[in-house]
Amino acid sequence: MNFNKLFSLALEKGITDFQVIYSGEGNTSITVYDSKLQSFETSYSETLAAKGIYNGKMGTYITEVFSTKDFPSIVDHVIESAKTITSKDEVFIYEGDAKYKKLPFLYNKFLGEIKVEDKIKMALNLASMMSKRDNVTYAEADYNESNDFRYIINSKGLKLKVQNNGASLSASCVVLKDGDTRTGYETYVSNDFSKFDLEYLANTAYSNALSSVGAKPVKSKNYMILLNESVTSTILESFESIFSSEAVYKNLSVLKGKIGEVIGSKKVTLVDDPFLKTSLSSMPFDNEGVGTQYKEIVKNGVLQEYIYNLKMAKIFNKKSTGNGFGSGISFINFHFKPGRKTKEEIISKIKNGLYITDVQGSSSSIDSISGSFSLQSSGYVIKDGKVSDPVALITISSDIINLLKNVSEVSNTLKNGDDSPAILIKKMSVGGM
Amino acid sequence: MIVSKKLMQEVINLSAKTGCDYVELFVEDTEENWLSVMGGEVDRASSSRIRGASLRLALGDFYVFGSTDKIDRASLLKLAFDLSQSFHDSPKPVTSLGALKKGKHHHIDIYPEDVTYEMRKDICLRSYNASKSYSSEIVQAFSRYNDSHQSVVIGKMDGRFVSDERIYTRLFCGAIASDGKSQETGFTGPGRMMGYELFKLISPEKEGEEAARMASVNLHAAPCPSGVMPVIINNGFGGVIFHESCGHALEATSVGRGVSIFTNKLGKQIANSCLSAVDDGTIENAWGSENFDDEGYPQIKRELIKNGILTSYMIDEIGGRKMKINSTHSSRTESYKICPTSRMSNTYIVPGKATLDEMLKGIKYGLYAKSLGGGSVVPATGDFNFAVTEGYMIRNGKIAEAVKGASLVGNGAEILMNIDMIGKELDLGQGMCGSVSGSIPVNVGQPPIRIQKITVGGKGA
Repeated sequence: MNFNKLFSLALEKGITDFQVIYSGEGNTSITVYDSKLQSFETSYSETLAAKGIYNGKMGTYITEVFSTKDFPSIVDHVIESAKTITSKDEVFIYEGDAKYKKLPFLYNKFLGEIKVEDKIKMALNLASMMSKRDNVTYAEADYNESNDFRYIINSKGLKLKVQNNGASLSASCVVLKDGDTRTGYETYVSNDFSKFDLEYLANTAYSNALSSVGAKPVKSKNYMILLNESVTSTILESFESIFSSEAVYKNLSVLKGKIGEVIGSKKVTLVDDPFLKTSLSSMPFDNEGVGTQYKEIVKNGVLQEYIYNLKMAKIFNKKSTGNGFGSGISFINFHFKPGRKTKEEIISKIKNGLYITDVQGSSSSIDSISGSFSLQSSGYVIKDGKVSDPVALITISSDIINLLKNVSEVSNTLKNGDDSPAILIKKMSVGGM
Repeated sequence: MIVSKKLMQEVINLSAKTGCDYVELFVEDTEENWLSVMGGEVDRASSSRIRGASLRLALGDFYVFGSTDKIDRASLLKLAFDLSQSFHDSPKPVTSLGALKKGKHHHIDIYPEDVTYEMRKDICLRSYNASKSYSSEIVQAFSRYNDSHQSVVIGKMDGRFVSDERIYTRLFCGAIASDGKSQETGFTGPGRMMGYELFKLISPEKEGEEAARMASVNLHAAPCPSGVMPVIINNGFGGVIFHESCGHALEATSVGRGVSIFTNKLGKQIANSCLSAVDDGTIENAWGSENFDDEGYPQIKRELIKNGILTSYMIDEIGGRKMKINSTHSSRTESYKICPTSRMSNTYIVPGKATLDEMLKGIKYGLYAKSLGGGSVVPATGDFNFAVTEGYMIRNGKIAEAVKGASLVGNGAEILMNIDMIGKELDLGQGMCGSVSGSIPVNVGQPPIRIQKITVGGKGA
């Protein structure tokens, strides 16, 4: 698409700097259960996100309707938006970095060349591998594929493009044994079709379900708790806003004024790694056109830095860290840096504790402003160094700083789809019987 | 019209050529606006627009779905052709689209397109100022105005042809109270399926004050203790307990696959006999209402549970094919990009007779959950959770000290039997419900209710 006319119109109407992000998103999904293909879905849409500086304020507008005849209305919307802003913060359109890191793994052209029939066949096979197992009452396989592109073009001469694709294959099953119904789930994310291991997915989903049969709450008290990779990732990601300079600036973060202070145990190193090869959200630049970078946010328990976009960098007298997205700031791949011990080694040293493998309710039971959380959890009892009886319908409660300060081990395990390893918490409050 | 009737008919005809027995063409044009005030300044004011179409073809209970933002003739016909290649059967008769039926059950006074940013700013500043001036403990406040106008047209192979205009307006107010050491929050978020006239019903000042009051209560509250105890849940958003513990497990998305705890339970007792519940998509201008569902059927009132007996599920037409039950007109989706499926509308527990005093009587040690946040559920097991945003301990039959940070967890099948008293004053609370077909506006609701025992989780001793 050619946006030259849109740019000249914007500048004519008094916008001093102008930028568009032109993006497209295509998705395909295949659902199999009851041993047959149930549905096949595709979707495609393109979006234009326009922003421009008018009288020193940043106006924005996002639309799916942007043929040449819509250009005047787009410019009017941006100007209207800018006129309404009263915040005095200085705003920027960026001329770009000298160079950007190349991330060729973000797009795999072979993925699109694989026939739809083969993708359907794979999902059918996965579902049938689960439904053959004992006690399985329901088996579902879902294949999802995405294909996205993003252009950033602005009046300062910046022109960037990135293209991503990716796929996920998920296995879910329900088992009924001894009158108890339990669910199991496992997923694998990649843009390399040859990486999908049906055996692994079917076995893991099935054993997750079967091993939780008979799960019940434990007594309410404090426990030593090992959080698995996905639980650690879920909790850390829910609290990522406290590391944002914007939250600090707006008095919304418990980390205000804490740079250089100890906010976690020595075992805690938290990094944002936008170049992580195993993550489909890796990216070379943010939506302001600033190159992304690897950074240690917390090192051996000490808070090093917040993350910034252009606007907040100016206020804090820093450089943007390449975390400007939408109208705010977010991490790209934020995670605990892995430690040295395996999960098995860590478990073998625990006399009495819990191994939490699933949490629910993270969107409502985590308060990122106060820092507290109380999450529905399930997992297993750890007794004398061994994983034993299943546990369900308990809550784990703490606050983020207490959690970070109580981290006594960080595993060396990283799991596909989750960026963080497993972490051991010395003490956390559990609600149960 | 977003797409002409003639073109819609052409698309349906081409779709039906290869033998499917169901065609649904859904066309949407939606504009959304938002403005937010933080620290007394407007820091965000913007709008967005999506426009596109989706097409679904089915034969029996198998379907294919495609969506596109390209709504010209060539693109829509290509989509129809591509999707039709999944079927190889003898063509079924197509009934021509009838006269367009326009939804007009809900009256709108002031449409979002007639609301200026200045009007939105005025509302936000009024609630912001009310929060900030509540007390010196309120260190930050914010407020956000959201409104949207969704126009949809649905045409189907059986000649059904309807349009609906869905107007939503909502105000979010948030306040943060701090004593320099810790900080706590309070939120409110009233909304209706109506325009700017919402502010004749609700006062921005009262909402701002309420958010500040909650933040202040939480600042002085002790961490909630953990354990199993009796809990009284207040009316309004308290209804999230029914939404999570039961509502989702009554949707065709879980029942139709046989993965709900309430599969094969129609006509059976699933709740204490004091409990009746409905899902009513017709309540005038309510947050979860609409004229037609997203398969083009008029919204209705569904009696889900009568005196503890399960009387109805919530079913969409395609989901109903699998279950061999008729649709209850419950098909909803976030937008044309996502395939619609069975969802809730305005779901609530029917009022009973108990007073708060009667409920408190006899509770030696328990929790009064005055205000609730969101939650989630796994319908296959029925295990659910939700957050308490304002809570008090109950000691010797009296509401005692404030506690913070609690969440409640339970199992739907057990909890519904454990609800033993139901109060009088019904109120509804607004939420965004996230599920298979995306994020949609729903009301949850109930009078105050008492649960004999449920697991409370908090970090207190």
